[in-house]
Amino acid sequence: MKINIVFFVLLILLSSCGRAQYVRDSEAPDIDDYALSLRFDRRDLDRLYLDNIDKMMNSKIANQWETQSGPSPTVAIFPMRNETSEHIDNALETLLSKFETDIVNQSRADVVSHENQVDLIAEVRRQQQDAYDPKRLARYGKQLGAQYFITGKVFDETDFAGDERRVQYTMFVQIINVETGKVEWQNESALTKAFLR
Amino acid sequence: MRIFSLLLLILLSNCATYSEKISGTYSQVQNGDMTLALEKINEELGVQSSRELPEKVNPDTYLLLLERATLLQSLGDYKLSSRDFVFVDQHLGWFDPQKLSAVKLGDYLYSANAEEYRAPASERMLINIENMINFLVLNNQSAAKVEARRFSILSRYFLAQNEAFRPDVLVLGNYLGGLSFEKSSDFRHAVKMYGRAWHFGYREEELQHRLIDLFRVTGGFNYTFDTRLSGLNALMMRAKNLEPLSARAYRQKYKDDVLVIVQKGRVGEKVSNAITLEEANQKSKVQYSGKVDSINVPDMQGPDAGSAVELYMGYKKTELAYHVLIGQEFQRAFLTLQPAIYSAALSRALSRNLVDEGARSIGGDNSISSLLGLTIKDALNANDSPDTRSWSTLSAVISFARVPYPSGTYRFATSSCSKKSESNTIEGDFAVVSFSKLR
Repeated sequence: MKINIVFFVLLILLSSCGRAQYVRDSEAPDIDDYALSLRFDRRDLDRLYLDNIDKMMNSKIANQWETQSGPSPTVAIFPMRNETSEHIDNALETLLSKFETDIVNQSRADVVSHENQVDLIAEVRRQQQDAYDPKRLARYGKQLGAQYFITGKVFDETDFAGDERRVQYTMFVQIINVETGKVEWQNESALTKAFLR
Repeated sequence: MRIFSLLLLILLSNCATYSEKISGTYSQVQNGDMTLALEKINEELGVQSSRELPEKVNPDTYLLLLERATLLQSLGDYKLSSRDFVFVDQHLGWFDPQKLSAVKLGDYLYSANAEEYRAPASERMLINIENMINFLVLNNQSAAKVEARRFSILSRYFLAQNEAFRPDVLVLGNYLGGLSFEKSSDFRHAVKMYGRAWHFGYREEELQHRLIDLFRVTGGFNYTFDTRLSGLNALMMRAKNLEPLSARAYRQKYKDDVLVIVQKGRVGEKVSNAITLEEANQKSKVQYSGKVDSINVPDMQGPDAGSAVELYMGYKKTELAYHVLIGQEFQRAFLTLQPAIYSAALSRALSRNLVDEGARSIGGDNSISSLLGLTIKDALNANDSPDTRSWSTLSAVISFARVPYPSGTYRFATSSCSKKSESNTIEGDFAVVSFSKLR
């Protein structure tokens, strides 16, 4: 009996070589349900998208685009400012692309494809890194021939308690009038992620 | 039964330790064969190239990725290096001995690679520092600011946990953070982090001028520490007596400079040392007694600071203004842990001895039980050897200098006494140039 206990201990010690592995969504259908980091994943992006898109499409300014006579308004989409302690720039790009898809497919507005304006968007991105200046951004919007641009900013508050971490995100999405620099619409979303032991 | 126990012993001894796995890379790094060292690390990660992240994660994976990120940085592949650092930063915990019980501390110190690697505080902050270097070299200020914020949060946490915590990496991290925000014209955050770099010990003239001008731009800053201790309050007073400065004027005044960072040498390796019970009792300051011949304890070798390095900007020799002695800092941090290490080592050695004696008593005094006793003892020894894992490709010294850099194309070069040299050309609006091949 005592020998069995000793060998059981040895087996536990042995089992420490090698553990987890990566999997595909086809192998683990609930893979998207788990939060694996404190950054934005698809579930977070879907939530932020849903929290913004209906309000944006039903906003006063979006209704004005639908009802105004004359040519369709042109909308540019500018990168969002990441003011957080997480590398979420790519996720923010994805979110903006989701907004872009709905504006293209469900509104009268024309969207300036920022993929065709690489240099200008690179400059906008550089300026976004600098102190925020909507007037300067409006100038870039004009260069693109846009009347409005959609952009935003994300902030966070991070806390530690031992090994546990919590990040509280606050995101602001805006539609800005290129001509006047006026913020025509703004929405605030909150999202919290944590690493708990 | 004897065959089974021998089989177990063979299986145990087949689990190579981390140090054994990457032993060849040390000399390759010192010889400047970073590519060969990288191949070895990739082999251990089970990937074909540095573009891949490993599919399987084992307790060594994050540490191996730290080594790879360091080597990629020295080879100038800042993009892949930053990807690895970001990945590790998301997953790697830190080693906080004050929060661990003696048993848990023993598990970490003697896990023999069974526990996931955890980095001590200074090492953990260096992940963000190294990645700030990567992103600043890539001129990606947005990502550099993310790293600066991460560093800031983490350092505040470590400082709150331990008021005596004053590693030199606080100077480097805050200085690089200040630069990341300064280059983005975010002067409030720049003055906050530059002020901390000053407070923690970097008091060069260039930072003095920069801080005074930043106070003129921002109107001052409410630091959370006593600014009188480092004379930071005097700089704020001097700024108050001067005219306010516009952000535009500040940008114009400081647009023509570049930060040169030189990383050299290699931090000390962790090794396993056998010491007597008497020595262990002396160092742990606790008195244990028992039938123990010797005890294996983790130890840290001294860092290899590498050859002296000279920096040239074109043909003009430039002085490196500040040297962060990472290797010494790691060793100092390790030494403060020593009493706890020896205490954990003693309690584990004595409990291991009890298991050994128990096994011997099972079958009485015959040859099979003697062999079984020896086998179990060897097996336990094999799995209870000290954890000697550490971020071993990290440089022992990180030096930096802010040098005037009027627009144009320049060649920076470092050369060491060992006749090795490394050159780097920059042009355009780059804030940082990094050298880390000379070891």
